[in-house]
Amino acid sequence: MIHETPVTLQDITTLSALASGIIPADDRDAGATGVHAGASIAARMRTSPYADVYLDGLKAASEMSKSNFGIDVDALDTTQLHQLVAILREQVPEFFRQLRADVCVYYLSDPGVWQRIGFPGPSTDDGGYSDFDQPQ
Amino acid sequence: MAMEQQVNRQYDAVIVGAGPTGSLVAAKLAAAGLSVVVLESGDRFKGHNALENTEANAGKIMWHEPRKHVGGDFVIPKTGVGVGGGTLSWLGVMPRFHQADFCTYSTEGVGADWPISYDDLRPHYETVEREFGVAGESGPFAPEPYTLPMPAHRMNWHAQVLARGAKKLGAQPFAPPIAINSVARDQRPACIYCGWCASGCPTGAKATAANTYLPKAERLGVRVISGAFVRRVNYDAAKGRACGVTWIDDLRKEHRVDAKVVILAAHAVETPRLLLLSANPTFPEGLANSSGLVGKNFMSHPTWQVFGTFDHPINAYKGMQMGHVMVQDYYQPKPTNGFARGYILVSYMMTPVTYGLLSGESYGQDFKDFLYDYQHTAAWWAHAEGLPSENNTVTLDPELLDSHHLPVARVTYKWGDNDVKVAAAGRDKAAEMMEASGAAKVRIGLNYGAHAMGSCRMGIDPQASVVNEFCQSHDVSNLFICDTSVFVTGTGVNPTLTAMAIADRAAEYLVAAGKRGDFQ
Repeated sequence: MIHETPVTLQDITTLSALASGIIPADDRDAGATGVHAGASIAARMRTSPYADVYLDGLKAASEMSKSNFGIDVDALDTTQLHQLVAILREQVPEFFRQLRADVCVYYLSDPGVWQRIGFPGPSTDDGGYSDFDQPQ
Repeated sequence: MAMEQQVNRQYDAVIVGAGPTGSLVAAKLAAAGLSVVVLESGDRFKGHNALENTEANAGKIMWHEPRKHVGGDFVIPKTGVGVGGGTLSWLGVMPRFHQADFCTYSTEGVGADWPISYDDLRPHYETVEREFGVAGESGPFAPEPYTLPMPAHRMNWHAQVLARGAKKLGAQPFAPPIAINSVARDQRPACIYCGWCASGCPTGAKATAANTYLPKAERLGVRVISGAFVRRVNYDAAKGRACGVTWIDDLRKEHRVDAKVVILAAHAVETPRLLLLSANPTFPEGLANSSGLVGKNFMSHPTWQVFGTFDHPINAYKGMQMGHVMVQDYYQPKPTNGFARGYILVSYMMTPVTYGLLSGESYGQDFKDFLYDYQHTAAWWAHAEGLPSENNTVTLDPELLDSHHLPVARVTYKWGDNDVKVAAAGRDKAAEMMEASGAAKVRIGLNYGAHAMGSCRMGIDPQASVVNEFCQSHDVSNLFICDTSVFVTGTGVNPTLTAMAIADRAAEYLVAAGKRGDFQ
């Protein structure tokens, strides 16, 4: 169901935190945060076909964070966040899967990420790969 | 796109869906002199820039209206949308079914027997392979030796690494049949191995309905209307026949097309959904559903992704995304297996977003490490046969509506015991092969159901099937279903070639029946 209510700051901060739990920052890059995955998901969440999945999932995440750690999702440290995501994967699987999928889309569509993981992007204009069958 | 005012609303045949089977039937009927209209809910993509290389194309060429998935197991039916249907995003692998695939009940006591055999489909396999354009080898376990119109693609480096492990285990890897040009043919170029197959081939080397049967059909006078969502098959109770369809354009305006024959080719989720939406006083449980089997026996292939990371670069993105190499050694049923039927293994490596999506449910640093192994990672897809079950269904969801305010498809799916065992065997064999290839690390990725079949199965008994061997509804003689809905069992191999061969056979029957005056 589409929800006409506007995105809230809480949506953004919670989703940004959860997204960084899916793909964290490390010495290679800033992870999901670096591509603003959480904010992007939050901006489209309420009008997407998965609006109900997200709203129910965010409610569950907030409740589980408070009951397990006594604080909101966006206040969790890295270890606590990792534990919360494990709980969500177990108990709210549809939300976990959708969140993981959407974070993947944002992170792995970024040209900077492509460069770092060794994917050169489209090659049609260069004629594809004539060395496709050679040792790499 | 606004609808033109002058539309011929009376046709010999209306076809719902401009995918591979709908397009094939359109071309065949038009070649026989029939007037045909094809209604496609998605858009028409013209030219290189319409589907430039981006994984975001999935939002354009894959079904993006809601569906409800329940039952516990994860199925990705991958319904295509757009002129070309599922072939816009498909990966082209086209092996033939084996003889025993058509009689699993007689031979192994599982599933059900088809009303047709491999021999019935042989001439249609040959026709489709020639007309659509298939390259490859029939392979060491082919139902019979056969020659394809184009030579096999050379194995990319990725496939060579995979094949090394397969051979060490005594298997016989081969380059399978695939509908991607290995040489220039039929005014389409040879593949340049750019690795963007699933996002819409940028060069036209990959065969799609949009670059093969549909242009031929349109030159023969077939009208293809895109942005046309069919909401109902209309039924004339007095005559006891389907009389056409009602469809909605992009501006939400309704139109009606009348036709002597109605052919559904909307894939195994949307075809049964349309029949259920077309319920009427004569067929209160759904049009053509006196058997109660419309939407039942929905099948998918239980699959596992298996990834192996090596100490040297693989660069598996160079090449066709799927099908540079296949192993069918484990597709032959064996009583000692502990499960019925079997599985195949096929090379499958993806562009980054799909790589992430198919990696499973890891997250955090483990997941990120996997993503950064992209350049060094190879992938087998273990693809097994899922058996039919009446409990696996497509129905109308009681709550969720689509953008047309119609109930969406509710897909209920749960693997059976045999499905789990045979898929696990495939996964474990793929992992073993990956280690034999020299992988430093093997990761098990996503377990999911691929493809959609069986939801309007064919058969001899009208109480136990929806259509006959020619895809003709038992209940409504001028209604045909020409897509994977009619499959009786799913086999372990990719379904599109067989779906097209069945459609080709049905088209032949339709033409002959038309000439006899059956549809006047």
